[in-house]
Amino acid sequence: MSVRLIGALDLSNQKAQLAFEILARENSRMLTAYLRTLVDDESVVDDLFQESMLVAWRRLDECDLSRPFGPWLRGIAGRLVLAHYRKRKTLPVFLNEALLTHLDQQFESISTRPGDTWDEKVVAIRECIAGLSASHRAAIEGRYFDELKTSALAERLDISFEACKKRLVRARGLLAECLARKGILTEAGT
Amino acid sequence: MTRNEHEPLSDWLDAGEFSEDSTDKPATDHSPLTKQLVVHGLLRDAARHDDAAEKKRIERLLTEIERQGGANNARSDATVSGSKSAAGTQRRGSRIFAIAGSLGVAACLLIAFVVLRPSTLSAAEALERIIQSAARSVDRAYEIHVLEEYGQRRKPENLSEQQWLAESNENVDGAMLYVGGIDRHVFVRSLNDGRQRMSGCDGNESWAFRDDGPVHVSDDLTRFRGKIPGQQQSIAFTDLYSQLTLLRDGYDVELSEDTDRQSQIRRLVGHRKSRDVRGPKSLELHFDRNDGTIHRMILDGLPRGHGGPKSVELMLVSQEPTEEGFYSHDFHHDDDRKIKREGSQP
Repeated sequence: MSVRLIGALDLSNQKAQLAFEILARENSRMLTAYLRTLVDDESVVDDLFQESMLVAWRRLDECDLSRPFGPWLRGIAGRLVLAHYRKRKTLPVFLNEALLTHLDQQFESISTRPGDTWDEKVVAIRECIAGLSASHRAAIEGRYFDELKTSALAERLDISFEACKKRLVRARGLLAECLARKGILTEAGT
Repeated sequence: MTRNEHEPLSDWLDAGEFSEDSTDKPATDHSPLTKQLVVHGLLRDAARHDDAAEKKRIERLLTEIERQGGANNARSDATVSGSKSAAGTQRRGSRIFAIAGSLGVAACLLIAFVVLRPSTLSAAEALERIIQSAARSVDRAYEIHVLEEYGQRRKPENLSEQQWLAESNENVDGAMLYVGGIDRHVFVRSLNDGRQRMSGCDGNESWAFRDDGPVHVSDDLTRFRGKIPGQQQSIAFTDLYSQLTLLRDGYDVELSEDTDRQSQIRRLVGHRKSRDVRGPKSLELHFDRNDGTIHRMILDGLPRGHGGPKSVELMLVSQEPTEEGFYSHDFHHDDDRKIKREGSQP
């Protein structure tokens, strides 16, 4: 029974649990953003978030706490994401350990930016969206903030499906350039 | 990176398609691909982020850790992984692992000390810690004391004659409240005629009975809360978790200065923002700054509408685990007691 187990905890275990709670809270926004980068389905994001954190908790003794906690947590999450796609036999060819390593470098670059919270560290993306041309901004807003599928977005923008995909790729590329200029994204790992 | 290398990603992100065709060679230059992905992730996160959902995600995690047996599991997992290792070098590895584990825990303690030292704890953080503590399935017993009764000399303008004259037939002074996390409580108090009344909830059903009456049971978990002091004031003690969350918006909360830096107990004071907020005018929570456990709670300026005191105090008297089934009604009465499902409130 849970209450009995909790009642049996000694002080050091309680402290460890408390310390993990702090680490979990500090890294929860980053982990959610990381998972949303790799997984579309929000319920899967939620499940993988729980699973990643629980694995981290169970393996806390293996964590080198003299080093940042974020990369270790992303390492766990990345492996779970790969396992998730492999299990469903839907692992894209480009999604591999090497890509995850580069992705991790970008997230670590963001994590070390000034700001107390994850949202403060990535606030520049709003400025970058505002700096896009009207056509690119419409594509980004429709796809992400109005959550339109590409086919519906193409219809709204009155362009073909393929042209819409290319416009989204171009718009994301422009945002990446803007974020790199602001020091959010790094050239490391190229 | 060529156009062809971009297409599988674009298909995946924007067309919901994936390619594992061997003719699609993995990219050799990951930078553009990675940046596309990161931007995609940041955009998706910006569009979908919801503070409330984020908090629930964390709460779910912490509850799950509690459910799995908390830190004991982590420690026993480590022990199991150590015991599974064979002999020789693996034993040595196990010892190194244990030392590393101890250092890890020591580092955790250091982090806990640095992060939780009094000067860094804000009122909002303190409130969140208290709320998290209330959500945990930890048994706590509180004794209730009446600190001040309402005077009868003058009827307040905003009270009807009936409300002013209303008197509770229960005596909450000396009553006991046992809470065991979300939706688990037992409340024991005496009636003015000397009999006893109990009510409670085991997470599946709520119940109430007098010591000489039938047991009333309901699937509505809030069915028998009406006579609990503070319930009518929207600060119910029985469901500390959900009720304390009301403090986030309805009260101005302030963490008092820490006069005794050796003490684990901190004091959080809340003042009702306006009369539109139902609840006592002010409250004080004396809590453990490490784990958020409420040790003392004072509610002052309780609304008068249902009779009852002006000010009450809840004192933590025990954190001993209760016996199995304690929050169910049948733990507290004989087997032959009459059960009335969803009857009228006693």
